[in-house]
Amino acid sequence: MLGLAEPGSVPLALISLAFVALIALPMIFTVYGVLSASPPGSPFSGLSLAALHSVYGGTRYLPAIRTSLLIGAVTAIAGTFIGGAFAWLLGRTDVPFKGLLRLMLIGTFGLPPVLSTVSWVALLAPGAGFLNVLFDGLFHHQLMNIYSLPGILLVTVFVFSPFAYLILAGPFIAVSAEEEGAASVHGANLLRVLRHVTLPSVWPSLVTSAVLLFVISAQTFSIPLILGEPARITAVPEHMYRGLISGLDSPAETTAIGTLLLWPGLLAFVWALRSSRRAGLLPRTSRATRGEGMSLGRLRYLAFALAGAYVLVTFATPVVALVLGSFLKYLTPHLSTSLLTLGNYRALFGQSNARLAILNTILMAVGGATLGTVVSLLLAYSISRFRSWISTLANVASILPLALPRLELALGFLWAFTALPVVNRYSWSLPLITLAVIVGFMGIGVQTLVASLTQLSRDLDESASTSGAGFWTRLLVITTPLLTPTLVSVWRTFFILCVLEVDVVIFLYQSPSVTLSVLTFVNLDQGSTAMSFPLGVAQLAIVAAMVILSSGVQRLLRVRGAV
Amino acid sequence: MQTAERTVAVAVDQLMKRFGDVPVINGVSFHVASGETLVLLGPSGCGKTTTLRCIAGLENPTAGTIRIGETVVAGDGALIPAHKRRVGMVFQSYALWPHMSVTENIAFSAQRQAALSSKQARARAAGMLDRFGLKRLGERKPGELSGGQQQRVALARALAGDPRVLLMDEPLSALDPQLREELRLQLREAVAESQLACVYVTHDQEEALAMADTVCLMDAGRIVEWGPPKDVFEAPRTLFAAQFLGARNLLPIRVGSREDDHRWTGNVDGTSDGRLSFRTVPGVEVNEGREATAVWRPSAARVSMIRSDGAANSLPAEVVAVLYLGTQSEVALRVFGSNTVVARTRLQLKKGDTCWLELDEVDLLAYPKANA
Repeated sequence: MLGLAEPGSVPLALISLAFVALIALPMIFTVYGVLSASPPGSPFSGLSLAALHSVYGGTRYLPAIRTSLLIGAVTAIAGTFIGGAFAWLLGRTDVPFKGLLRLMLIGTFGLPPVLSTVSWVALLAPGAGFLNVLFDGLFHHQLMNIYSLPGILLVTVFVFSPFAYLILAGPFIAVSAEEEGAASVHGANLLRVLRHVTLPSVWPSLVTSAVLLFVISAQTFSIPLILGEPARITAVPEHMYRGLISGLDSPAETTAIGTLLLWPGLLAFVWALRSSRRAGLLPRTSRATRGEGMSLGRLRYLAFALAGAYVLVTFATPVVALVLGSFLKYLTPHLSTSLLTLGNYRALFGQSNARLAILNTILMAVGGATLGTVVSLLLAYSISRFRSWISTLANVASILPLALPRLELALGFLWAFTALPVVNRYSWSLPLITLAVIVGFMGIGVQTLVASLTQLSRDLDESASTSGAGFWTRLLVITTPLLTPTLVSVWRTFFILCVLEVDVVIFLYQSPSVTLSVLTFVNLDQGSTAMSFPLGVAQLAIVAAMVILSSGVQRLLRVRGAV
Repeated sequence: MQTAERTVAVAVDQLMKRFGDVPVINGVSFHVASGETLVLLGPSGCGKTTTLRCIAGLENPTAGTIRIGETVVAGDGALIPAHKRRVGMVFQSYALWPHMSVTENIAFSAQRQAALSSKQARARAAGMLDRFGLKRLGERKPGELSGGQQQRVALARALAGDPRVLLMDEPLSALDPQLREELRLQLREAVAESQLACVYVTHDQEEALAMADTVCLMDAGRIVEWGPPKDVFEAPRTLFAAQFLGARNLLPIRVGSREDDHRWTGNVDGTSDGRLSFRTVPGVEVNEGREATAVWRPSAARVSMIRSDGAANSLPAEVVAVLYLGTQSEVALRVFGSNTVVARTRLQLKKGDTCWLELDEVDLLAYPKANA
């Protein structure tokens, strides 16, 4: 273990403290915002409990809390089940065409949630959705009304399941093949092996996945907003958005509404921690070895058919609907060639606002991904190599924003940027938004890299140290090249999240910092679906180009022993 | 410990290390002179690797001082980081950087530690490759080498930076027994040629005896035995040392009378007919009429079907298990009731056979019961 006398620990400690301060900033200002009697930017006019009393003192928000918690709970359970099933199938069994299934499942993660929602509207809108019209013709009844609570739950589960897969894929692969083999030779069938060996091994990760899905889906506002409005279903984040946009609620009350989802989020994280600690007491007797995986026998084709049908429905169908919709003069289930047009794209690229949004999105994604990856690497290195109270604090601080409602985090930053005018909020809005988005997702990058650093033998770092290499040389010449595949993966994740992020951006953007996700959402909210489809395709194209490019880079840079 | 007359290259004085409340090293002191190899020997968890890591700068001592040459690298308010201590270290896992070629691995150390230019470092690496018979492997990645080749690259890298001291942490433990024996010789030669002070960590007593000028046997964070390998092996001063150095057979005895300074007679405890002649090593005292423990190495005992006339110690035994080892067998024998001991023999024995276990007086060592 390298001590604090090690040069490099001091700059790392300073970076960690700066990061902790950056996390603390929106949180402190959230508390200030809830208690402030005056709106952001106005002179201080005292503290008030009026906002808290208004939010917590009545039953006005109870239906919204119920809806948000239901969305969170259903997505956590169903999403973790689906993500876990894919992680098991692709990581532990001999199901065929694993690469194709993996690509399509991860592809779903690259679909903008807003656009996924819209494409499901195109498929399942009552009376007009492609699938509903098809079913009506065949069976004389419609498949489903997407403008309903089941519709919201269906889309939320589809959108967030790939996220569960991304969390669970690694842990499922790391399950010891020897332990599974030991159960098999002692008479356990496939289900018993799964029940008694595989699932207990990945239990902490399953809990983490469920908690993250619960928190993120309960906080998401675009899906319930688009699908819930016609059915008069509201969730907590929608109250915040409407309150702030309409100006009907005070900023303090809007901020207080956001705290409604903070408590279940924190409780879920505490449960996850306790559960992981309990699971950590399970004796692990043998080192994980990767084997061929369990044979499903003839069931492998059935498993492939089921998994293939799922990714076709969740990935291929929305993509087709999205791309097709972008070439239609107007949205209709009665297709004909006369409806096809390039006009939507011509109109899109003719707008300076849209061109600016594309440029801003790319700038934010590249800048955010790079900054996020570098800071994640430094924090992860500090956490895994220098065990000081500062690195422990940074570790906790990186996870904390994941428990915070995204809109609440954005509001915290809004209060902070307004109260602390270090830079001009208008002209610096794009870097500020990028910073806010990255801070919110930093936990994902940090924890991924901490896990990789744990896998990387400490001896490699220490042998460089005894060979005369100082801290920065070791980090840049030894550790970084060995982490290349993970770093590319983290960079790609940040990139995708920056392109797709709408929750934080919608509260903080100014006209010079409009992004594709914001423009898409605004168009949808204003009923202009024709324009939102090419905007969605543009986002999809950026994400797809980056996924292909980064996968190529990953293959090119892959080195022996890298993690 | 005695200080060698040659220049002291490494001096460890009253070294202590705690992990939380757990003491791992408890007052360890030793000196190593240039050209000398000191082996830290001991069971897992005895603190030998932690001691080595403290010298390397990979762990910070809780107390005590460490000098390399004239420089205090840890203690007395000083704490020099690992990369500035100029030590060469061979890790148990070799810790070769998988993304670099063999040449780059070796040149890295020459460039960073010996402050050579890139060109000079590569020339140094080429020289090292030649020296260790790796000339044609320079462009390969470590993953493309055998275990023995990796071990030699690790040694070449450790020496390429002109270190002031060479540290080796169980460098042969990952190799198969035959290769281990071959490389043991090569390591010994390389260390002697470099004239460096070397601190070598192992749990293998045979390896320790082969590599060491001085052996330090460690237990529970302390050095319990030290000296030249021959002395430590032939005259261990504690029962723990005797057992760790191969004396697996224990027999409770009652001391009879002293024959001379170190020769004694006695009986197997609880019997009147198990008469024994044994010795004690200098510094170890047993008392007449008191209980003691007699120990011996399996290789020191002879098994015979009939009692020999000239044997100092002959114990009637019954075979309880036989393990076939090829050229000979290892037999577990029950002697005097419930005492089970082990011996090696070429005789074809089977379970239930009766035989005689014979031991020379010089091979049977006794330690007082308290020492046990």
